[in-house]
Amino acid sequence: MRPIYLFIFCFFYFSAIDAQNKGNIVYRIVTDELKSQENHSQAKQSFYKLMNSMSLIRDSLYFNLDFKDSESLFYLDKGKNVGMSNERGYNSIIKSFSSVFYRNNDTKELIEQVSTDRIYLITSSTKDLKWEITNEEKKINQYLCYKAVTTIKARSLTKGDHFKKIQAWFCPEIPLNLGPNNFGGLPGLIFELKIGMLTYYIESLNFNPKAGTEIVKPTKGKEITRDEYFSLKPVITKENFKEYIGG
Amino acid sequence: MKKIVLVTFLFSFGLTFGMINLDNSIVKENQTAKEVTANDCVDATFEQMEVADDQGFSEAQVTCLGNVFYAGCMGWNVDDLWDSCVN
Repeated sequence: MRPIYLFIFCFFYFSAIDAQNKGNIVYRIVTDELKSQENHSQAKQSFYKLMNSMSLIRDSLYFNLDFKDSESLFYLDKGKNVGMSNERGYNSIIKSFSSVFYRNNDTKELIEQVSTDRIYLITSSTKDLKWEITNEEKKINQYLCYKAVTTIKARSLTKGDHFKKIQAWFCPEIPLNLGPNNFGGLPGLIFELKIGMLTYYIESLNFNPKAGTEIVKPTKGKEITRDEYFSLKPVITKENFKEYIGG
Repeated sequence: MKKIVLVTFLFSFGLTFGMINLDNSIVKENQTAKEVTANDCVDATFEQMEVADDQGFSEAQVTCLGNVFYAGCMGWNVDDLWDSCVN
């Protein structure tokens, strides 16, 4: 190969590699629909109606996954929606999804900045998540993706400490070990992620952003481990039900 | 005369005793029905709170939704209260 061709090849090859060292991926959510039945109580029907109207707002949100070198940041794009901001419940949905997720593949550091009564920086490690990669495959747009599953330790008001199933579809053709909500570590970008009734999916990929993609590590808030954060959360049981509900 | 008084007394006693028993059974039946309804509503409330949790609502919102759902399940009119949980 003549030197000039070698130079051109190397230039484009390394440009392509570099293009994937920074970029922006836009995710959105689709929520499982709750289906009312005639034999459901009035309260349940009203509840489902409210939940489904809130889902329309949630499904209009956009999330950014910015990455550069070994760092990435996943966050709600508050300046972007499809005109739902005047709808009832918009602000509460925004608040529910206002966490910022930082990931550093070099240091294995994961941070979730969450605002509740105060701001917390929940720290964990990329090593904490163990995936099981299955043989199931499907095409998402033109990309061949594989299914992976895992369970995470979770805590909810009604279930207390429990394990939650997570399902991801990752595509090795995009060699980025990233995904929504700091889920990652798979040999390919997560194109779909199902948590509870929510499925995150990719809206767009941009590996050549015109504006600089700077990753700012969140530092504001009290540093706390996930177990410590869980211990702050109340759990409602049948025994203490009246302290929280209908008391 | 004594027979009439005795019959009247026994009739009144029987009627009163019967009514007390009847009344007690009605009260007890109502209490049981109420307890069953309350327990059913607790279970149903837990179920709906899990749905709200699975949809990513905050703890405060899940608790509020649980309160409104429970009140609605117990027969209160809560049509105007739902919005207070999400606004």
